[in-house]
Amino acid sequence: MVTVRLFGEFRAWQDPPVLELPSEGLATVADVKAQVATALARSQDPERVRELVAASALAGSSRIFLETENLADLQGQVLALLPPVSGG
Amino acid sequence: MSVSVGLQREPLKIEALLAEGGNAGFGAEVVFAGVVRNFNHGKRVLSMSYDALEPLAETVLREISEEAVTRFGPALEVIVRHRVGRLQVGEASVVIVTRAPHRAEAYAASRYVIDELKHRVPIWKQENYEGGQSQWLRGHALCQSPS
Repeated sequence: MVTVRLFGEFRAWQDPPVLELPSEGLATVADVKAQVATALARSQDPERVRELVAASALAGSSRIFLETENLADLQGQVLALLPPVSGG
Repeated sequence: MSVSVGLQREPLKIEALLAEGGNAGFGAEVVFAGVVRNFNHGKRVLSMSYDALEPLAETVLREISEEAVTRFGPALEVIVRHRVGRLQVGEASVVIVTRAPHRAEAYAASRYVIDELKHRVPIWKQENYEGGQSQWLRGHALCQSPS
């Protein structure tokens, strides 16, 4: 399983704000984002989900990942889905 | 170079931050505070909730502060604190203290840190409105760092 923590606006869509995704078929960071969108679209407006996930980045505890990065290289990391930021 | 960053749930105390660091060579000290305001998007705001990916947020805050030192002078001192959790109107959400021998570098570094913070640090805010509604604010999509 791949664990993805959700932040910001995603928290309003999933309680508790975490997704457990089957790892089968997930090769890259982009695959994880696509699977997250599919999971969230089951309970939310699919178009809104697609738009927000597309604008979001996937990160670990110390850096943001490229969409092309292989999931196998990120073993053991809890992933975080980061929507556009609005601090300050 | 002196950089100090952090996120905290407790209210920000500017006096305490001003007591940190400093030396007789600093001729300028700039304090910026971002404060929760009571009106936005035509709605009355009662409070603001801040969420953050804390380890990464602190890492990026440190990177930004170190960039400010590189850009505006090795003698700079930068202190940044950002709140998380629920804040009431009038509370400070972020405080940035910059110190330098002269005011130009202190002002420039302060502006650089808050502008970059808004674009790069994984922090999100939700406005809570009169009447019970709330809304997460969408800001800047995070650029993907090179591998």
